[in-house]
Amino acid sequence: MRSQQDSSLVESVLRRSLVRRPAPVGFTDRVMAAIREERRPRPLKRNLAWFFPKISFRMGFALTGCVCAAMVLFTLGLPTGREDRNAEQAALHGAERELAEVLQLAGNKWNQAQEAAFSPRMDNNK
Amino acid sequence: MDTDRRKLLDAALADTDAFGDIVDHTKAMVYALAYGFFRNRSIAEDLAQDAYLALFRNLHKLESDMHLVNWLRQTATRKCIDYTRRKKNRPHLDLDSIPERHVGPIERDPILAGELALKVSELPVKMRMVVVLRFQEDLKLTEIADALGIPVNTVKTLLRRALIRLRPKVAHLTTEVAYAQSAR
Repeated sequence: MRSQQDSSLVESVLRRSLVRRPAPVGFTDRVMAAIREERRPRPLKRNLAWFFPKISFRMGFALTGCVCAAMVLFTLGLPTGREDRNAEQAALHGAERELAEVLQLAGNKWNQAQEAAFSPRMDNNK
Repeated sequence: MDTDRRKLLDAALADTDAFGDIVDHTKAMVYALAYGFFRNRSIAEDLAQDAYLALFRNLHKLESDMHLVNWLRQTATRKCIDYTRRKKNRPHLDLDSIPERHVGPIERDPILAGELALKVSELPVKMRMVVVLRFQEDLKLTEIADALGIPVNTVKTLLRRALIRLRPKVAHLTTEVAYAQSAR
């Protein structure tokens, strides 16, 4: 009972003490000025506007997309180039090896031929 | 205000300058809410202006003038709470809000009011907002719950805890003020 009385006393004191304070004079004008400022179309900042052609937002978006796509493709394409180069080098090594073998074989054949050519003569001379 | 009326809303949607009428009709509530919460004129003005800018951006979403008032109250409330959380602002009394001494018996004692406002501003954020909405704005518990987006039972709990916290301070202050008045 006592607690309820205390609470109602606190409530009544709070109600009397916490009163609305009126908005300052000119508040409406301030708000309206802020709204007008927000509605005002702002010019786009172009520091290098003299250099770059005026492009629309969509065009700029498309161009940016193209550049990004090109960069991605270039990045993805790099390993393929490396692989191609590796394959080329491997083929070159293979060809070199084959050439060496061919030359070796040719050399052997030449030696055999020479041996065959000269050995009967030597026999004949004997 | 009639629930289905759209007089202010339609006027503002048709003409931007008519938005000033909405501000004139509701600024007492919005500004007082922010001021009652922070006890600081410049913060209250800034937050009230932010609330109106938000209203202007969302004007087309509102259904009636009553909806507009509720939406504005809810937005102002949230902006106050968000600002406190963001800035970790410690509430304080600025010079212009310190009451001057009055002579003679008056119903609303400015000293008591000032001291009590200071005590209220020391309450935790949500508790403070509940007290302001209940005793300054004179809202029902359901309306406070709606404005804060919390259940009614939570509002009751917060209010009860706030009153428990304020009770000894109020008792002390009322005794002091009564003594001061009797001594005059």
